[in-house]
Amino acid sequence: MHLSRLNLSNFRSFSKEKISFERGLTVLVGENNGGKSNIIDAIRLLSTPLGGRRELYCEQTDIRFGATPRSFELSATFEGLSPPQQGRLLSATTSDTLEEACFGLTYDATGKQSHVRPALWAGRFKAVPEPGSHEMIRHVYLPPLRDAKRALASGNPTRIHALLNHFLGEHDPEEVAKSLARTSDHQILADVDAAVATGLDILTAGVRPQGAALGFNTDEKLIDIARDLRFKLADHGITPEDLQYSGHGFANLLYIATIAVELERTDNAELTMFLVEEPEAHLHPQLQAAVLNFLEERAEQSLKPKDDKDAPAGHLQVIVATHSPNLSAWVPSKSLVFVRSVAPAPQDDKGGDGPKAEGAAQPTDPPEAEMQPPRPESRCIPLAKLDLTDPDRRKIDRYLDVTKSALLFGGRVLLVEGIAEALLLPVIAKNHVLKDRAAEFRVFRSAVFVPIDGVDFAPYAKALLSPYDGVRIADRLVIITDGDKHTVDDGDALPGERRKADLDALAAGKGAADVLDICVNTYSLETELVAAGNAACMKEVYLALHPQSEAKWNDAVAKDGDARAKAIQELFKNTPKGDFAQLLAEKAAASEAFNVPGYIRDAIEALVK
Amino acid sequence: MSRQSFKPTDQQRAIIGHGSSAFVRACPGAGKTRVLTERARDLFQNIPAGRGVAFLSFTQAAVFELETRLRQEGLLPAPVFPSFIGTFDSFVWQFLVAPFGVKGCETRPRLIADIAHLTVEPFNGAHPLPLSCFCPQSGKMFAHAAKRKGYDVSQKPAHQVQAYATAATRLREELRERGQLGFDEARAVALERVNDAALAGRIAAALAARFREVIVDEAQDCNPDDLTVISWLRRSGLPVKVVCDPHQSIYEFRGGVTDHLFSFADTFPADERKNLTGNFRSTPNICKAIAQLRPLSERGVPDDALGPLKDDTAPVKILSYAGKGVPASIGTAFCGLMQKAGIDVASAPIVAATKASGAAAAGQPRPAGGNHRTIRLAEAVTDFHFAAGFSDMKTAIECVHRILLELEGRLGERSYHQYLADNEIEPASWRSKVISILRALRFDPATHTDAKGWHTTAKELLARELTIADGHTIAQKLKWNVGLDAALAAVPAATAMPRTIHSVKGMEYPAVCVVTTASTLKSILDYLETGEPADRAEDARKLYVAASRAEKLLVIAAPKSQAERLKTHLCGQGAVVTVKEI
Repeated sequence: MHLSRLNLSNFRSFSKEKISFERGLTVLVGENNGGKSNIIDAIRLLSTPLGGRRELYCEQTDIRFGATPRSFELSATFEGLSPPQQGRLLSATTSDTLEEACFGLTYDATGKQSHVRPALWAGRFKAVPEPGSHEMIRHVYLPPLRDAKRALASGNPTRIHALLNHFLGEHDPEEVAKSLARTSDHQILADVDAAVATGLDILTAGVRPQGAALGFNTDEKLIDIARDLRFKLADHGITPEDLQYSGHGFANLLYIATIAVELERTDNAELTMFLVEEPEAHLHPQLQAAVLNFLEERAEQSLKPKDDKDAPAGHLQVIVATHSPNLSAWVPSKSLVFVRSVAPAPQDDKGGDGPKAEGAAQPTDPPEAEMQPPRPESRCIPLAKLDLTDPDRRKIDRYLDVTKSALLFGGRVLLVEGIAEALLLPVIAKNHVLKDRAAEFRVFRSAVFVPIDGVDFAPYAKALLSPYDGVRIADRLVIITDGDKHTVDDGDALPGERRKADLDALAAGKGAADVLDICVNTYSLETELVAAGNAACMKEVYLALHPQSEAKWNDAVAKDGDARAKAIQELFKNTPKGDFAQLLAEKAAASEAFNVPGYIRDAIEALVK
Repeated sequence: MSRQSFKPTDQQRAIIGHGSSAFVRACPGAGKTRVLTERARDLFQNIPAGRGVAFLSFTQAAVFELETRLRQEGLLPAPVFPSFIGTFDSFVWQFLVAPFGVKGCETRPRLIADIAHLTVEPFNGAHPLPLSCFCPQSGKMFAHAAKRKGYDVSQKPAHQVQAYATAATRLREELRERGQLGFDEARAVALERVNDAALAGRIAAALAARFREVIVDEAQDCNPDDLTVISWLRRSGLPVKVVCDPHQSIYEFRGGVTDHLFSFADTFPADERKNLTGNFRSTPNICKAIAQLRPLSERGVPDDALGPLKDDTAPVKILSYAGKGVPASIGTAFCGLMQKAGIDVASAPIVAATKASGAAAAGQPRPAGGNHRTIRLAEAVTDFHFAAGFSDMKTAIECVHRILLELEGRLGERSYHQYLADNEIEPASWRSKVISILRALRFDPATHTDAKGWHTTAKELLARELTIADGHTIAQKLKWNVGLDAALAAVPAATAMPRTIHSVKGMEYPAVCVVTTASTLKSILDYLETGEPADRAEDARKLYVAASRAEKLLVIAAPKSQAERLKTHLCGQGAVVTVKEI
């Protein structure tokens, strides 16, 4: 059994959305304020914490701003119930097959000022679930742990206890406890004892001999020691944040300890959802992947049939919210759910009235309401549900490395062939095309630049442009590609134009023709820069990299047409394009005289329009 | 009986340790609850995670008693999940009706407890008949039930009877569309599930994976439909323990039929049929006497008196009274006998088939007001303050809540439970107000002087507390009734309390006085001696239930004409019975 679907209605940044989840691991990716945490919180509100101690409750402010009526509703659908689960969750099943269960929560604040009680319901008739059945589905919430020291001081010794246990290895807990226990034979204790005893003697003289001893409990358990670990460390002149273990930060340890504690307890539930928020906030990049890998493996293991087939299944499902490209690069694309904030489509609910006659504006419509842009809402695009073929998907998985997976974060995306374009474009935009156009330059800056190291744009374009329930990952997609005229015979169609035609057709097929702009040159970046009249400054840069090659440069640039293109390509064969572009960018930034090739100017304008 | 001292008999041990299904016949005082508790302990000892036991019974009171007992023994967690404890109806509702709904209806099904009381009136001025008089499947009128409600089918034209059936079916359809089901309708829906092989198979597999055992207590109160469901569970591989005393079946109005139970018992192989014949409650004479109250064909031998009173030789007493009516001297004589035997008179009831004859025997005038609202209010107030237990108290609270809603004119055409369901009213929202009203209305001669004074106070209080929206006054709605004097009791006299037979089911008392009347005892004895007239079978079983409550002293008040005959009959298996004329 696993959480397959979450429905949110008027909940925080969500107006109405359906989010789907994978059986093992789902990673929610997207920009900040996109709504990832709201999804995690919805799951936290809908299920019981594994430890039983709820830290999140429904509040009036959870109702989407401006929503009427003043209520929100969450529901979670679970798929793949086994017969024992069907028996325990019968009151929540949604069909006669019994294979799916649903729990929901309705928070209705209509006409109430305070004390709104959320109503928990289950099943297809939204009836009250059988008491206790709801607790068979649990969650563990791993918050972004930004302050390890504070978390340690929060007075919950179980985490440190688990941490100690985790590293106990072969050691006998009794022995460790003994060696860590505070000694009671320190001189200061003896001195205090003596002083107290003297005073006591005077007070009680002649009545009855009294003994007094200061010391510590001699049979401290590991848990007691854990409770005091903080003081222990201080005794040894170590502050917790200094503690290093196997090269990892203390926060990492604490984090792993938390997971270890929680994993122990998942067996008594049918399903435990591990909700991991921003693991990048406290884990080294390599550990992020390691921890998730570990959790995913545990999730995989938990699906194995148990000896006792009627026992609670103890399944594990991992849901991660991140804006770190590391994780989205590391997991298969079908595990990714892209979360973003979009302006809702204009509501056409007055369509029945026909066009409004002039001057007949309804008095109930305050004019400023019409002026106000619609409030953005969170939407989700599960990559698993996009219309992609398996080969497409494999390509995307292969291509989405750390740098490229950033493309899943942006509403405006610029895809270029190589690093040179990616380095040059921002400089050109800032100093030339968008110079003195600050607002548009800000828009330009918010866009994501992805050099795809090649010309296979189609899988990216598919992923970015495929609509899911009316939303797509990209708001604007601009692709810059080379015409590569010099590689084909005269009269043949340019390879770049062919690519453009294919991509345009793809976009049209996805209904995204107006989202995509493809800017194609005739030859390639360097040739086009020369053609635009930048030969002089390019030559300086080239000679800086190849001091001996002035003749070669002059020779090549002096040519014309296809010949020049071929020669320039030849020139750059042994030139690191990145280095060249970087140096050229410096020149371009400084020089008023830099000439921007037309297709680059078009691309920049298209990206900010 | 503390846990340490409990040494099960061989019969008891055989049931406690029995793993598979079983049909258990338990005599009165057999320590049935103890055996079930021990069976539960045995089951829970090694119960794997996620598995539970379903405990079912047939009345709220019986469920409450079993649940209390299991909780006292620390055998039930809270919430009971994944175990289940509740009435058979609630089990059927929870697992066969609520998750699936009603076919062809998208609304949430809701169980409306009093739907059976909604009236069917096919035409203006028709004799109103409750919905319970009509078969939930076919819609046909149950002639015997209708006759009890004053409608004799044999005297009516066929088209009129048909009109009733049509009206009842239409009413049920309307209710069904709104998802409103009574117990009978819910059971009909449950049977549809059980008869849908594919779905029933899935439900059975789900339940079998969850419940280690299903224990059905008080199964004598099953009706044939309930037995169908139980058989299905058993066929599906769930171990089912059916525990009953067929002689104590007194809910024939629920459709419970003893014959079905006997043939159901026959479907169990011999090693799955168990008996509990050791009576830990009563004296040997009582055991012998009550054996004579079983039907001739099933009489058997008396149960063994095994309890602390097994050596008590006190005889069973018959109080022979003259005259047609039930005299108050019965109560006096009963109290005298108790005092002689050293039994606290307040601990024992006078039990009769009806409230009225019990009250008459106890010397308490009982109101003739019947359904009069003011009387119902006064009775509920009295019942609340002298409630014998939590269940009685709850009933009184609910009754007053309903009266308050009637006074406010809120119910309209709807039944009380329909109103609650339609408006999603939770007990928590009204209970404290009703309780405070009940407390304020307690009859106290010092303040109210008499019933008139109480009536005035009640009107004033309710006028303050209620909002009457339909323009009538409280005086119009809460009229004076002469029966009010009798309905209000100040302090219970130091005398035996009158109880109905249904209300003492499952209880035990040091002494019991069973009141029989001239109109019924003769034919009951005819039935016990010859098996005819067969329609007296249930009256005989009621007599059996009432008499078997007694631990030490069983007194039966009988009309003089039948007293000696009764004595002779009761002595049939060696009981010592004496007759005293009063």
